[in-house]
Amino acid sequence: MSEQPTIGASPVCPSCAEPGADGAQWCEACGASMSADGPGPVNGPPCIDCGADHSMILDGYCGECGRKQPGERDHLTESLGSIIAVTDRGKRHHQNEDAFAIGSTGNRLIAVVCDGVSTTDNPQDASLAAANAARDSLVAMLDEGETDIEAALAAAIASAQRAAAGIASIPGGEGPASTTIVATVVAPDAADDTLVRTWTAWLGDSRAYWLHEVDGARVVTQLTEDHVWEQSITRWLGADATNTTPELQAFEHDAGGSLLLCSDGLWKYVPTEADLAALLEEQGSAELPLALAESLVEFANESGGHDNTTIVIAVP
Amino acid sequence: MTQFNASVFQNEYLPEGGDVIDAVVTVAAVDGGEAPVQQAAQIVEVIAVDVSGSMNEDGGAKIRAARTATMAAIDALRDGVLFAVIAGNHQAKALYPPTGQLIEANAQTRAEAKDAASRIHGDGGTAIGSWLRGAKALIEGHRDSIAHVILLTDGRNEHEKPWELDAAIADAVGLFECDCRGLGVNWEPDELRKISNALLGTTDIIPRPEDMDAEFRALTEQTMSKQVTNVALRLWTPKGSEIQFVKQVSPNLEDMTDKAQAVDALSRDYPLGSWGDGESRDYHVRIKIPTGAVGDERLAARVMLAVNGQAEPVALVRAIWTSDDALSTRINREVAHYTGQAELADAIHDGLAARQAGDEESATLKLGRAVQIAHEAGNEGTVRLLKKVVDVEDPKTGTVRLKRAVEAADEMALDVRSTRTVRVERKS
Repeated sequence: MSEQPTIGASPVCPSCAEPGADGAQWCEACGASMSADGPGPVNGPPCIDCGADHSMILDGYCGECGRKQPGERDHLTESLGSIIAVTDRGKRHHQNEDAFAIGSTGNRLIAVVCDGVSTTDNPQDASLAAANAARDSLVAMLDEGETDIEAALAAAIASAQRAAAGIASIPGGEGPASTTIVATVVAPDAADDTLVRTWTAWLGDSRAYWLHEVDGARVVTQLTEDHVWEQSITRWLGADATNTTPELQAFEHDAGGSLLLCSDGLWKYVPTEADLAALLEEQGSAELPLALAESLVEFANESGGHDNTTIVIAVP
Repeated sequence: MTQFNASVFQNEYLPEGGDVIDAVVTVAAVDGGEAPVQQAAQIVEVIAVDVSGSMNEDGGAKIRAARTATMAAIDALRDGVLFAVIAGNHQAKALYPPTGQLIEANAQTRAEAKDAASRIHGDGGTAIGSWLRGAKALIEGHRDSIAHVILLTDGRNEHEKPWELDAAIADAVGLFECDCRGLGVNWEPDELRKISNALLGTTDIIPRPEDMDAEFRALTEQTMSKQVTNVALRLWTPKGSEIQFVKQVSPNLEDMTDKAQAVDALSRDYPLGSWGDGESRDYHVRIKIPTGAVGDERLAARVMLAVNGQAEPVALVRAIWTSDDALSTRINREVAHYTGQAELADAIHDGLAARQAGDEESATLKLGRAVQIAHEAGNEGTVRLLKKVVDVEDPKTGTVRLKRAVEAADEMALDVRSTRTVRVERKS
């Protein structure tokens, strides 16, 4: 620990404001660290429910009323310039079981969205682990010069499956964690700069779309087909998954469009391509990807927020 | 060093407006591995044996059994344990050591104590409160010890007022634990249960004198296995909540709700007595909490284990409000199982009471239901006991007929053992 230089007055305890001796590490009055950024009482927001002081909050729960405090994953954004992501807990679920992972290597952008299945044990861990594993695997393989993107995607999904299957179950619980996955690599065509290519692998009902304009009108093309039968997903990742072979689709698009990945938290409110196109038309003012993604999340929450919502937008 | 861990079994999902959370908490004491820095806690064993005049009945079989059983218990005492033997009738006499103090167990003191025990004879009445007061006088100077009393009686508490027994029990709470055993059929189960419930022990029948040696040896060995005492289940519950009940549900049913001791505005201690490594017990808690909106999560209880007042958090009981009926209507297996075990004990209790009152229809219904639950849940021992009171036609439907002739000992055994539970069969 480096000593903090003191200028002018003697240092005061950041916790109880008692003056301390120069160079003192601990407050003699209250025992808190004299360094403001060291361990010791941390200021923070009061309880969202009963307003109890932040110091009452232990392990994320209020020590007065017991209310769970918002967690990091309740609303999370990430921006890597040409690829951005937003995930939100929504209004009706107690936790966010969606996860995203984004990355890039060279001019190739990598987007992954996973949606943990609520009726399994620890789905929030499975979705996060699977998304990260898929992204990490893709970044590593593409960095190493792999040119067969479909092979890289297959390997990434296998890696995500290992991660999801490794999530611990709860004794006497509902069964091993399950999650959907959709992973897309998007890159300009190597030879023709008027073209963009997408390679998408998925299991379950998280979707990828291509957004573009034709003659000034918004056009939406769905790149995935849901693995759903009678309102249940038929393929997923997890220890009890029977078919973890992803469906793979490669497309060629005119340059100028963008990629959208989302969980069903969004598309349940705009199920068809036309519905989504109409929504995007309405949201037209939000041209910046992050602002657009936030406005889509807001739309889902205003529509009821029945599920977690995750949006990834990549502009190649 | 003994450490505690806990697992919670619950359905944490509540429907909109729901405000009652049930959870089964399994608490286990495990050997933490590290060499103990402090010396292990002192163990104290006091054997209070009935020497009233009625012990001479049955041609002397009871008094002879009391002698050999006391000797068996003495033999099971480990070197270094502090012990004493009380001969109890309408008063408590120091049988060994005659000084009226505890004495350290070793080869010599064990031999002397057994010699004293071999010469007990029946005489006088029965005042059980005085035996408890005698035990208290012996143990009082050893408050930090793991103190246990074995209490044997063959009769009712006839030679003191009920309030005297109640006062003696109240004075002993927190000082020692007490397992009560009734010999024969002329003792009062409710009397002994009152003692063992308050003093964190058990009550059981010893139907035949020849079973006494094994029982006394087992009870003493159990005390020898204890490592830590003054353990409490501490529950923090949120502001505005109400703990509706706390029950021990395994190894036997024991309602602990009224034993709550406030720690602060939101935390309560429920005394659990002393534990040995490897021991595991289950508790069923039901908590009413302020309701929340769909999507909210609230902590319904923070479960802690306190040893000598030092609490460690071990588990969380959660409440999550959901609009998904598939989640909120889930039945937790452990909660359902122990709810059934409590219903079983009630059915036996009510069935026997109806039978004694001559209400055969109600008795048949209740005991039939008991057979059905016991059969479903795998309470083999309870089914065996029930079969001595009823003829079972179909255990699946609970169709039974009351037996005409029932041995008094069988009926008492069913009564006092109705609170023994079995655990959920956990699939591997």
